[in-house]
Amino acid sequence: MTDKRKKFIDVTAPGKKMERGHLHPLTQAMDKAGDIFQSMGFEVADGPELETEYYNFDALNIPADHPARAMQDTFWLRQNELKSQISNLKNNEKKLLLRTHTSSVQIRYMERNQPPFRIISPGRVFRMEATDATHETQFYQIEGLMVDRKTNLANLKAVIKIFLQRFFDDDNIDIRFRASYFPFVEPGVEVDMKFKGKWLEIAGAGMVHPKILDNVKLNPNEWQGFAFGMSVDRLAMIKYKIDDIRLFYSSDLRFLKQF
Amino acid sequence: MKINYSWLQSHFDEKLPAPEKLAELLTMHSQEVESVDKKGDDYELNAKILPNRAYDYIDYRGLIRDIAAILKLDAKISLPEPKEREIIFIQESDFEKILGVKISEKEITDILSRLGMEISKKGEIFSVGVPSERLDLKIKEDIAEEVARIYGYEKIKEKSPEGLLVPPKRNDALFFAFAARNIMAGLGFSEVYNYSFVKNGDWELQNPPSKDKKFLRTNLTSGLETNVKENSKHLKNIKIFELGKIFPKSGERLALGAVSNKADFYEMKGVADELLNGLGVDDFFYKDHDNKVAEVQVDDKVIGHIDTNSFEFDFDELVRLADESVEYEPVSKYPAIVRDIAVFVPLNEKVENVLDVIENTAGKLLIDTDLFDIYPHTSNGVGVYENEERKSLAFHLIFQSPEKTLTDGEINAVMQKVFEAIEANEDWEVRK
Repeated sequence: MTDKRKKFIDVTAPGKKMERGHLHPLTQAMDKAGDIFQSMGFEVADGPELETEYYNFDALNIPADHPARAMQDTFWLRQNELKSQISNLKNNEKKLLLRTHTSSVQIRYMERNQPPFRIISPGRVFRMEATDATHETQFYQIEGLMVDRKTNLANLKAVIKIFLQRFFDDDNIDIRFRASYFPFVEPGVEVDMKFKGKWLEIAGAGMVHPKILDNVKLNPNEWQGFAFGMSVDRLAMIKYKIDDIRLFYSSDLRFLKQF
Repeated sequence: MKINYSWLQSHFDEKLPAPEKLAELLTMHSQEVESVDKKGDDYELNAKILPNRAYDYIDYRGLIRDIAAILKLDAKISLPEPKEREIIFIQESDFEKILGVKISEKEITDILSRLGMEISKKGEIFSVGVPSERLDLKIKEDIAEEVARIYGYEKIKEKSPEGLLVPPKRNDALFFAFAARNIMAGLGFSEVYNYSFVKNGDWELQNPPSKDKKFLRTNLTSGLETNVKENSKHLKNIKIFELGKIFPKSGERLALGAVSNKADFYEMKGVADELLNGLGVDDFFYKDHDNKVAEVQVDDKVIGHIDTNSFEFDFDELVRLADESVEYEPVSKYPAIVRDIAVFVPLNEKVENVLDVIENTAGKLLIDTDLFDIYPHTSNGVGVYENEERKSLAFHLIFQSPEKTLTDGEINAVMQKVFEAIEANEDWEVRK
């Protein structure tokens, strides 16, 4: 029975307009990834976007003549008196660039800490590339590193698989490793993810190259571990069915307010 | 690199798997085959050769050996013996240590020999003679990879890592960035990501992506203002923020900028207050600034600026100042008494000066002062009514004691002192 004394309220009329702010989809993706990895004991580490050639290439066993160092792949800074003003420069004599991956953060972290290590490093990276729907001059990466006395390739498989299953909220996700090559890992593999019945390339990974451990003064006979890297933009594009990476950097609220 | 299927088949007596199947096997175990094209009666496999194995593939020897190893076949054309061999030692247990799977000695030997290596074993240790053309094989990990890829990564079963259950350390910068983003979103601001490249700045690229993107950005506000312009084609109210790296002369800083196109200074100041309070930044204050409306300081250090409808903070500084520890202050059991006071002051008088007098006079029973009206309302010091020479500031004064219920008499005495202190300034007048 309706209470006659009750004031008439039209519950079908629209509510008063309120507006919440929306976090960027890449922020949401990185937060989610961070939560999953932290629950597995990984610490989140960060580092500079303006890097030295040493941390971006040399320390990672990327040879001096490697094509990635060339002008068509890496953004290099014009250098003058400015460079000496950066306080965190370890190798002043080395050239400055915009980091092409967040692996540089791993080196900086390993220099400052004692193993065992479990870290992830999310962040903005830069590549000199022609832009199109799947390529951007800037994008985000999450790189992971786990080093202790016994960490092996089977562990890498478990960690990546559980991460992807949680990230996409889908226990049916399977992964596979394919033979590949990256100078900073050995063995090195390409990781594919089986998502809704299709194999998609999702990460590069492998066992940390002994030279890298040596570069950060760790004994490779005592310590070993895995590293992996993936594009946050790609994870978010798959998750939200976004077909153009450039939308992330468009600052178009009609896009951003959908998240 | 294009390779004919029939040419591959000519190296083996046994029938090779169909072209598509062979391409898949190579992609998993050797090199990625990007496409298989039918060419007349034959097929062409387009392989993307890995940079570390380019030498090995000059005469396709590597590919024949990989196929032989993957399918456990013997190539019928014997491949030339290498001029030299480099010896790499690896312990049998190293394979399991690196790969996390036990592979039999027989299998290891079979794989490596089919790949053209000479194997001998003494006790626990394999000595592997690597053909000189395999420039990619130098250390024991390289040998482990050769075995693993041919054996098949799919046969490595995933195993959860062992290790102590130690909660990871918190990264303060990321923790407070997370908090700041949520405060801003809670206040109705949406987050944008702009490009790091701009037209002018302090750090110049040698190889810019385009003429108008030669430099690294030195602030976030310019980008946000451009975003407002673009978005105003479709939307009326635009409230956006960005948390990102900027590159002033001094190097790299993390900054937080926000713009609200319909806001005035006081609204942006309110947002800034809420943000700073939310991060636990104490004792910040606002000062006049030459070209922007205000600068925000803590301990004589500038931590940010507010302009008419935007602000930008040095987030590295905010992280340094932020503090999440909260100490509970007991809520008084005794009722609060609220008294109002309105003061006429010259148009250019600052609220802060009046507040100082009130708070310094009223003593510790005054627990809060709340400015609830400015009339005529001013925005950035400009009066709404140009003829006015004075403005009225109206405050709620809230009195409370933790020890007792206050009486009217006690409060009247305090208010009298406040009135007198205000009127001691000859340009000020208490509105009665």
